[in-house]
Amino acid sequence: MHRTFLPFLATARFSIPLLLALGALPACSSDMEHPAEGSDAGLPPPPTVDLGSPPAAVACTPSVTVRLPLAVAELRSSAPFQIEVTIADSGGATEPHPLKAVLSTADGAPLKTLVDAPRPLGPVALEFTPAAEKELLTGALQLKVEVGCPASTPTSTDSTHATATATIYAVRLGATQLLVKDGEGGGRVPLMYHALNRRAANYFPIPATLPTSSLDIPDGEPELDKPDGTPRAFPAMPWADLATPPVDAQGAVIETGNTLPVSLLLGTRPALAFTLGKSAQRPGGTQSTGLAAKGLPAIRLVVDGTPGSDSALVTEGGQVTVQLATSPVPAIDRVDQLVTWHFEYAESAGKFAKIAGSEQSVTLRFYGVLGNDQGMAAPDLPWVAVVDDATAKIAGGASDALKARALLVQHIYEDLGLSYDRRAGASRYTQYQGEWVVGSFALSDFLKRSRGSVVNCSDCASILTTYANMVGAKLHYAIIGWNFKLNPILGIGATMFGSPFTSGRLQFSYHAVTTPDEAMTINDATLAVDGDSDPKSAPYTKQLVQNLTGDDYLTRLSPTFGTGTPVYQYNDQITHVR
Amino acid sequence: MFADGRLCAALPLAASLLLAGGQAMAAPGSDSHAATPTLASEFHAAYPATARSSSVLLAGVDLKRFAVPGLKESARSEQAAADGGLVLSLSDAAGMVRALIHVAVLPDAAAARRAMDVELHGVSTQLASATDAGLGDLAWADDDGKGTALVIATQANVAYSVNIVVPSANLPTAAAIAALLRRSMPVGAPAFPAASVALPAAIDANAKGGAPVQVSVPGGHAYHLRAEGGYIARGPTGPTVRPLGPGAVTVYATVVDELARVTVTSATTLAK
Repeated sequence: MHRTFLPFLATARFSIPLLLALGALPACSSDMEHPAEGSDAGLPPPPTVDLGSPPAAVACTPSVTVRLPLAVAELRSSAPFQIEVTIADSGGATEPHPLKAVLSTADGAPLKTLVDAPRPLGPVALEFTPAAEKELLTGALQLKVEVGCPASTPTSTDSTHATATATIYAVRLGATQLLVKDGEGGGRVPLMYHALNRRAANYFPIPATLPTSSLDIPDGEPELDKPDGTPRAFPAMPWADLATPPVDAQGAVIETGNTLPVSLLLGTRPALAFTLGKSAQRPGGTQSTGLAAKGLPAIRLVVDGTPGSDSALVTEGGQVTVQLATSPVPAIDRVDQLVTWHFEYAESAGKFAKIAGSEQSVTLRFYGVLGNDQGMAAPDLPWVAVVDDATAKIAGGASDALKARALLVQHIYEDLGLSYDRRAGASRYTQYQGEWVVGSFALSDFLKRSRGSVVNCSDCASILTTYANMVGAKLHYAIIGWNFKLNPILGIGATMFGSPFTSGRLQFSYHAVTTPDEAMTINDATLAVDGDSDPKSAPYTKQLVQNLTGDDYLTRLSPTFGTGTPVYQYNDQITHVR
Repeated sequence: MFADGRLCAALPLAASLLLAGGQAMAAPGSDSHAATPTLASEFHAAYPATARSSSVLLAGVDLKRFAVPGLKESARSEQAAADGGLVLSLSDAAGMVRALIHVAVLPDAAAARRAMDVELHGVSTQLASATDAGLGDLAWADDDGKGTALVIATQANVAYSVNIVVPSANLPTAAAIAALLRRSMPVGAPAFPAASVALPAAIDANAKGGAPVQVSVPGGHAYHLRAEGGYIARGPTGPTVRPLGPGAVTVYATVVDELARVTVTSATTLAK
């Protein structure tokens, strides 16, 4: 026990009012003399009061209380952890009392002395910054606060000091990975990378069990911290390559340390399944997170923007699932959503307090789609490269198939840099099997434009059906035939209405279009028609073929519609991709 | 081996044909909707296959002998001949794709005619019989048969096409390129490359290292692998397949020899 005098008082040159204000002196009697201000300028005034003789009725009977605004400290928090100490003395001693506060491990080994010096009576604010205390360990820490008596003050016989203790739970909180699950209001839609490690036809459907995002944790290292003690962070941005997931030197998928995209049905409120870390860094090694400490209050994970729930109580290495309160994808869109979360502990029944410095975040990439009409097995699954492009183009501008198809027609017709094969009208990326019964689209080659950007109607139909089907806006292709005359049209990539061919010939042998309903409704990205009341002749009003009725489309396409040709013959055909 | 590989690839397609064909026949009739498809008969009337196929089989297409001045191969797609065969993209010095060459070496002339038909079904102009009889025993070309931009032809058991994507002043016509290609077709019975794939009888669906894929190509030709139910990676001694989960895992090897002959073979195992 320290019994520290206030030695400066004996020779102090403080004025009496200042000492009173500091609480170092009892109330002065009226016969105390204050030094005259400005007297004996340049010379120290002589003492006028015998400060070493407290009033005879005063005896030191100290007491101390400790209050922790928060009982749980995050080890890597750079926010000061506050401790409120209150010193009192029922015996009337008013001088600063010796105060010592020591933070120790549960078994009593001292970790840090927070204060060891006299402090005035009343509240004393102590604090420490967990992130700055490199020797701090996780678990239940004991805070012991002792207060003594000033040396100049007589003490009562059995109350020369007082002690208070409190438990501080030091924890290392954090998730190591999260998985986006179906949740409510829809669910996940399959996604696939089409060229794993950039190998053609090396397909990788993203498993629904693969972590959506995770920390990069080298083998043998603590999960939540780097070896230098800095917290690991989730990837800053989603994986950018649209063809392949991240792979190692052997071409194997790297399953951690990255954020992969997730496709969701519109309106889905996904569930985020977090896996909690099991280990943290400590000087010279690894330590547990402290979540298994006896007496630790319940701790829950709370996603910002979503009400906290007791169902999200965390355990070391355990999992908690939080369903988002709102859907990140109310419309067809590509959404990079910053998801932030933190941890809270149970202060009292039903009341949780945020643990400072426990925040984590990640940017997730969601594709909002209507579904999947492409297929259920690779390669006929939604491709990341296509869904990414289609949803980015639609950009929230549609939440139904009709509008989505219209925007995709515009995208393919105007944005992709394609032009019609004005010499022969030959397909570059599409083949038909069984006459025109089923299409096969070299989508992987198309995405690279490895056969160029000059296309024909079959290619445009393949592109449009594929893009639409992969976001759930069902389209099949239809074939119109045979050898029918054309009205002047504006072929893809052209600048003037007229023949699609350099020969000037206004005729197609066949023409491929797309339809959701067996050619009752037509979408066509190959050409624009004259949208005015006389599609046979100038002037021309460019009209994209977006959800036209089958008859309206043929009326605008051909002057001979109604005479037996053109007609839709293959009406509801499927295109496979490779 | 070849037949096995093609059968594997053809089964899903056959199922698709049946399904899609059923849908086509169920389409309603109206002014603009033909009750019965006549397009097929119109197509065959437009492209009669009355010309007899050459009985002299071709060994393949020697792509090393085939070169187009000013162009170089910038991309290649390799499929079984029945699924399209090889597609070569030829680009100029600036990297612009100028021409596409399709080559499918098939076992017989009938198969080659079928492959040509597939190609013709993707052309929305009516081609004429090629004026240069040397382009094939059956050859169709644009520009009244001159083949300025497109030639689609068969010669015996080989189907091919030459397609000018973006013309330029210095670029030969499609017919001229087709003539070069025709000179790269040696006579002989086509012998497709031998190849086999072997997988362990069963593999661990959770094995981190995947399962080894043993590919045997006696001719030493290049090959590429793809998988269903898994994906291809590398192991310390060669390729591996990594299952996506429990279930069947099939690995396909596509082998192309120096005469553009393609063999696709496969092996299947079970990931547990």
